[in-house]
Amino acid sequence: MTSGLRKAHKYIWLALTIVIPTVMAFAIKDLQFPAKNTQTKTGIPRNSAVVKGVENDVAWLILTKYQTISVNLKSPLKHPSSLVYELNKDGSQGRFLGQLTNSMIVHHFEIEKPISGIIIYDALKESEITKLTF
Amino acid sequence: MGLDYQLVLWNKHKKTYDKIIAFSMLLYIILFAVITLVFNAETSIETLVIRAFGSLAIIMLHIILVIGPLARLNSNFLPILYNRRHLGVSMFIAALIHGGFSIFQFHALGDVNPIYSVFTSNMDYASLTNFPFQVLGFLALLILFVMASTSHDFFLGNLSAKVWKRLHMLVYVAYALIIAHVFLGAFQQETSVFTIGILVIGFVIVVSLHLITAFKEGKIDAAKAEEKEGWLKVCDISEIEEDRAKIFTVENERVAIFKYDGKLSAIHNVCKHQGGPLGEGKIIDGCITCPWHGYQYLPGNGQSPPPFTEKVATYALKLQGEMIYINPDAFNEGTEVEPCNY
Ligand code: HEM
Ligand code: FES
Repeated sequence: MTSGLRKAHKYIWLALTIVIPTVMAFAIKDLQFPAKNTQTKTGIPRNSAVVKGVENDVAWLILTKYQTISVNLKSPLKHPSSLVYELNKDGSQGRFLGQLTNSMIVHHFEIEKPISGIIIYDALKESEITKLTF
Repeated sequence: MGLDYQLVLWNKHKKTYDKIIAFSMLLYIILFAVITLVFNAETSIETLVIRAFGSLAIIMLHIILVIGPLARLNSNFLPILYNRRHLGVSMFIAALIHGGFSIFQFHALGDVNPIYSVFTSNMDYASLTNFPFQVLGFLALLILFVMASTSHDFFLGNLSAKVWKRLHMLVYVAYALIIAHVFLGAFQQETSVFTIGILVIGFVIVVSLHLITAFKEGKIDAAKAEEKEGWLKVCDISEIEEDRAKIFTVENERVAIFKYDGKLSAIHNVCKHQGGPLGEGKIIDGCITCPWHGYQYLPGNGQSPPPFTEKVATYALKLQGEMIYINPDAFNEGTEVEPCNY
């Protein structure tokens, strides 16, 4: 390398040292981390009483009195990213709860306040997969 | 320089490295598929392909980016440097499979052109978390395509080494685009401290290696020598080994001063092929031989022996007692200079 090229490389890396962490910081700052969640192979956790339940052709949704909702897909999802959001009382999209990965397991998410249901959303196609309302 | 000279058995090594690259890529894809399917048997083939090749490409890119500085810091890494281009082309192929499958899965089913769809299906360019991250991946892939398709020596000759080097520095732009692609895309849905951590650590390693090397090399470039009537003092003859060189900085440019057959000759240190450090090479069959890919130059005139046509600049030397002095004004490339006898 000539000294000019070496200098060019140095300045590019100094610039990247600033640019890349900035992008990372902004992206991380706005990340929505999933709510507390667990997965089980069979139905709702023991010793939790069912408060409400609904189903449609995509999934079952159950609310237990321990402030947990349980979601079970009826068939494997075609969507590579199926995100679950709370459905607020006013019908708007609420807090991010987590991902649905598999129809053979039940996904349990902790919720903090009363909700009227959930939205299952495909983040890659940017489209709503389904909505379940109690 | 304290770097050991290693003769490159170019063709033999090249094939072995290619096999290692292909085998490692295959192994990674298989492991990725097995582990993913063990954890979630419902993962679709498309998703599996997209994720396996996307992650493979970014891992390979990190390896490619650290080879350069590692080879400067430790000559044991030089053999990998020789084959970096093949690693680059293989990385492009992995990225192409990832991007191709993504376009096919997410954009090929509508009635608009899939490429047009990558740019327009999400127009939220002002948002950060909902940014159309696939556009960033697409632009990075374009850069990788240009680099991979011009990587052959044919283009190096036709584009001139300068344009080619500039073109290949675009890899840094591609790196930034890809980091943004992953942070604004995959991480927004697959939020895991583990994967974010890996990329952050990867970045820290890549950037520190480059900066350490840059500052170290910058110091060598800035070295000032003692001057005497327009000539710069280099070193004592005994400090140079037979058939090897001493690298010396003359007005920010490095010069290689070779000692051979009772003679001394100085040429510009930068190989015309890909900028390899000639002064870390050795004289073989009377020719200065580049340590990177074996291009050769005659010490007396900086010209490659016929039929080759490469030429590097030459410099005048003189001896006072045992002390070597160099004239900092370079002669034109390929100028014959009477070697200094001792
Ligand atoms: C046409 C160009 C590209 C498109 C359309 C594209 C699309 C995508 C999509 C849709 C995802 C999310 C996949 C998922 O979560 O299932 C993704 C993730 C990712 N992409 Fe790309 N991409 C492109 C180019 C690239 C390039 C050039 C690289 C790197 C060399 C890259 C590296 C990654 C990585 C590391 C991820 C996250 C992990 C993964 O899911 O594989 N992408 N990309
Ligand atoms: S850089 Fe390739 S032979 Fe010198």
